[in-house]
Amino acid sequence: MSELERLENNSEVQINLCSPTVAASETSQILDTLSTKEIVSAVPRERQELLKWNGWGYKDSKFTVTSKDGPLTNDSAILKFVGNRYPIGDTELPYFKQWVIDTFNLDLANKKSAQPMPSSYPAPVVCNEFSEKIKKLNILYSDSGEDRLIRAHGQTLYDIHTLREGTFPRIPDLIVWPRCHADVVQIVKLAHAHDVAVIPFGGGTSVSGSITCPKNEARPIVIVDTSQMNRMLWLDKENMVVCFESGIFGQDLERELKKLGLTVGHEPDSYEFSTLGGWVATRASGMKKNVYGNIEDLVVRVKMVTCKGVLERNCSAPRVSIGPDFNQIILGSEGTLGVVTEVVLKVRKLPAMKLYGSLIFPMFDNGVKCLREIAEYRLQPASIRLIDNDQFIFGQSLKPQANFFHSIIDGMKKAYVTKIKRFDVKRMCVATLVFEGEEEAVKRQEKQINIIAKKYGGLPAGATNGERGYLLTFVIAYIRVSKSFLFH
Amino acid sequence: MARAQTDTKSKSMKGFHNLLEPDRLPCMTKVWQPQIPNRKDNYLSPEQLKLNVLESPRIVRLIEELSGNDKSKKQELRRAVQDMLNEIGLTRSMPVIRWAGICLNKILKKICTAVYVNEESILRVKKCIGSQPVLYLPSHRSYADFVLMSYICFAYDLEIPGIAAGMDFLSMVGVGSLLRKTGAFFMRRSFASDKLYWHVFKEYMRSLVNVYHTGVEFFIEGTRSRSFKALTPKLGLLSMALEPLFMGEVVDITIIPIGVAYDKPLEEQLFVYEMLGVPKPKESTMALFKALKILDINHGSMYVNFGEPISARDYFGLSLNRFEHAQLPVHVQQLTKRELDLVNKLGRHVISHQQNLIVLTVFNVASLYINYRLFMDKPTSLQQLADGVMLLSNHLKALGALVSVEYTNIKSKILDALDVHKNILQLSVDGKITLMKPVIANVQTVNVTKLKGHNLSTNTLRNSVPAFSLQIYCNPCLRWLIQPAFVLLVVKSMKEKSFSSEDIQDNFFRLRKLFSVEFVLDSELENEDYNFSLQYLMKSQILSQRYEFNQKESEIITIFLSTVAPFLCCYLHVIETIIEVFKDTEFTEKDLLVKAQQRVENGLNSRIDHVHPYCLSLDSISIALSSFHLNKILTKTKR
Repeated sequence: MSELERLENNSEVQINLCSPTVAASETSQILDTLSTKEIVSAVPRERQELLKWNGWGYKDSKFTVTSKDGPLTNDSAILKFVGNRYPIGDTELPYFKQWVIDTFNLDLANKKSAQPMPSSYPAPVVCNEFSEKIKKLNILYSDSGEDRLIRAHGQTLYDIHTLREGTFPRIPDLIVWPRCHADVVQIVKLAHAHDVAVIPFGGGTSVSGSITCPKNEARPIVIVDTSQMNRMLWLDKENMVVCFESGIFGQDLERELKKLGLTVGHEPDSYEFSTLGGWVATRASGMKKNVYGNIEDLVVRVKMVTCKGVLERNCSAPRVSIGPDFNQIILGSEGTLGVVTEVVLKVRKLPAMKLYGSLIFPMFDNGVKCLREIAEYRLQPASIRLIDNDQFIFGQSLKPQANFFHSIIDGMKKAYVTKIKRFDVKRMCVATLVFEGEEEAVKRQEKQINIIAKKYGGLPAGATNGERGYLLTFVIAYIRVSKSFLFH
Repeated sequence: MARAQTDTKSKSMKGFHNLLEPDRLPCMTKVWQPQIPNRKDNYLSPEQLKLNVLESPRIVRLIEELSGNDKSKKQELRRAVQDMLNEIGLTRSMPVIRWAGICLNKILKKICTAVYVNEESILRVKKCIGSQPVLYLPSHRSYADFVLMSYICFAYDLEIPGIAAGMDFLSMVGVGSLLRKTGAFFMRRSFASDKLYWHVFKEYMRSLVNVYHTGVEFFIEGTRSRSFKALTPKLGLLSMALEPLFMGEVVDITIIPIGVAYDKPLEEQLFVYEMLGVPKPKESTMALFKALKILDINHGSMYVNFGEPISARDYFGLSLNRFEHAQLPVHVQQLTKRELDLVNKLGRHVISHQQNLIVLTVFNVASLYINYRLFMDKPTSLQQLADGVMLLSNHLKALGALVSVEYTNIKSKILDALDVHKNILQLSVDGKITLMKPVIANVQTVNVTKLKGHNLSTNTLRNSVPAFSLQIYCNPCLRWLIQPAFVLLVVKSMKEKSFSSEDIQDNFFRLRKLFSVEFVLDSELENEDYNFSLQYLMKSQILSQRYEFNQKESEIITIFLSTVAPFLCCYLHVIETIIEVFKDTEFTEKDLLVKAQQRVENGLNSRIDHVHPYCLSLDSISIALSSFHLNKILTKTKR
């Protein structure tokens, strides 16, 4: 009998390397538990202990408005960012206050505060059989209103507005916390059998509405909160790939890899609070994608539990000449096709050097042309961003009140730019840069970029400005603006 | 056994040659250009092999985990792993190998009449190897196996393999390093508790198979079989060695079962005392020197027979599913339950092959016949013994065994064998062959708590040791005889006039299951074995088509039945002990060993029926216990 005939006669043998296998072989059976690392997450399971229930980020970090003395007016108001997690923490921001008042024409005397956490919630749509079976499986679950509300939304302006002033027309009925892939398989199987709708939930930072419950959904809705599936299942240093469970938060992932001298390098603005599974499901992009790639470039394999079985590529090679590639279907599926449970990612060595930089241009148009040319020569550093004049001014306004010495230096710099170089403050713009790599390569790249910038009237404006720009990225996320409110 | 039947034609002693003959005696100063079992572009030195383990992803990962990012702890652990590797790892010294070989040439000539090697079988092996990892898996009946295999490899220009040895040798001054330099690597006996050691050893074993070129030798029985019966395979080393195949790191692994038989193993009497429960002297260099007096005794011949190489890949066939392991990096995986079952199956297959390869000596066959005569309480003359040996040899050969009995000069061959075993049997002045009464000094007062079993009296020992020794020489033959004997026993026990062939088969299966641990019988082969045994008995007209005994063959029938007797009696005593002493109460294995031996001793002294000195065997009593547990007659709990 030829090899082929033997294969054909044995239906159990899978000959297609990339076939989606409904009955995929259990990797949990062959995985040596020794190679798995438990990770203590920065975010607790009861996420409201650390994070805001009705806004972005940490509870202890936010913009506040208080009055110096007497009633709150535009004059007496003090604007601050509290908490010491970020570089502008606990300092007064007088320029920012003025910017806000001017830009939005605000009267702080009319400050509106958010509604408190509701005391009653809509009764859940219950499927007793399903809940009973979940209990028997020993899977953590909750049907408390608070837990349901917290996981009913993402972080769009609409979501925040509704939390502060309205009510959601539909919130989920049950939350479950699976601990591993096998748990998810059980949950999805049961949900399918009992006609229960499943919405996967990672960090809850979605801005695409993918975790919003459909208004008219009559079936019970169960949220699969993946946050308790956050182990590093294995690491293969030789091939530079790592396998994590999908519920690991970005900050936990990078922290653990950093201990081993490694990085994935995927840094979406939400990376403190968003999860790996979420990145995959939403086809996320990170700010250092020029070097590390977007999530679709970083993912080698994905395991996704669907109601028809587990979808995964049956081979660990990073690339095979066979298709279609099912990873591409999973990426960006927004949780509509299944629950992502395990992800194999490419890792790199931590860069020997990280360098910030910034360039200023007299006009936005110059900046665009400069960045075009940098792109043509494929000289993009890990990150490069062009910021228009509005944002430039906004960024400058977030500086704290300078002390005497600093104000002199700043004044001199400003004088040099505006008087000698004749930049117009109302028209100029800035590009911020991050370089990562070997020292020599970074230095060379910086030099080449500066030469191009010069052609378009650009001036290097120092590392501090660049670094500030990137660090503020995480602070800016705390501002979710709408007409009726400003701060939360 | 059916497989053995097909081999029958090729089974003869034709390919065997005596290595001690002057023209074959290995020259220890020859140019050493051996055949390499697993050729490589670059050959690792033993030190590089250790380094390979130290830097393997598993060990690096484990050190990282255990050190918890503490740099100095990491250094400390790395050193600990290096120490472990130095304790485990083999080295190689050609001068030591040559000198040891010269000594061995001298010693073997002094203590043996011959070392027979199946040259055809070793040439067949040499033809098959060269590009795959090779596992040599010999049967284990004596410490001599350790040196004999390397000696033969040297003699036939085959690279000397790495040999897994126990740590006991390391505590013997000089012996440990001697073995190490001739290719031995060492493992601790129990290391389940020490995670780091376990992984280091496992990685070393994997590397030996994966990246080293010499081939690996180990004993899958795990220890020397004191009873000369095969032992249930231990799967630890075998599964470590086969892991690279399952993980797809190597294309195939060649497995060579080897049968090593001794006319009289050096440890014969030690084994007898050990199975009776008399404490075994600890291995020490002094003890070794004392043992040198055994070098004055003639130990007869040794027989080494290499089996047909088994391709593990072919053996597993389609059940080898490498897709399963293609999804994860190799170093983060382990074998599945299904694969461990496959390893178990292969282990049993190898044990079965080893038994086929073991040569049965004149004395094995003679013991069987004498045992039967003693069982019948009949004296035996030399002529009767010669006839008996001929009769039994014919049956054993027909059943598939490899028997070294030639039909010319049979009497003088028997006399030679009796001379080698004069501590067990003697030819009395009246021409009868009788058991010796050994001189045993009063057993020194021993610490009773240290005994494994009952404190047997000197008198009991004096009366039992020869008969016990005789039985262990019968044991290698039982591989061939026991299942036809089961059939005969079942037929004999059928009281009703009318019984169906299914009744016989069912009872056979039940009996076979009860003794499946004792004789390492595979439950998957029960039908095959039953049909083979039944057909053999019918073909040789011992049993008629209607299951009647042929009266003309009554002697061979009784011989067959007598082979089961000692084991049946032993199990009977164990059962009665449990019923009488431990009814409705819990007991430990040791409780049972003591009480059962006590019961057998009383039985022997009062000369009741259904008792045989072999019933004192702690080995069989404890096998009986595990068989009862396996058959769900007893339940086992852990304290």
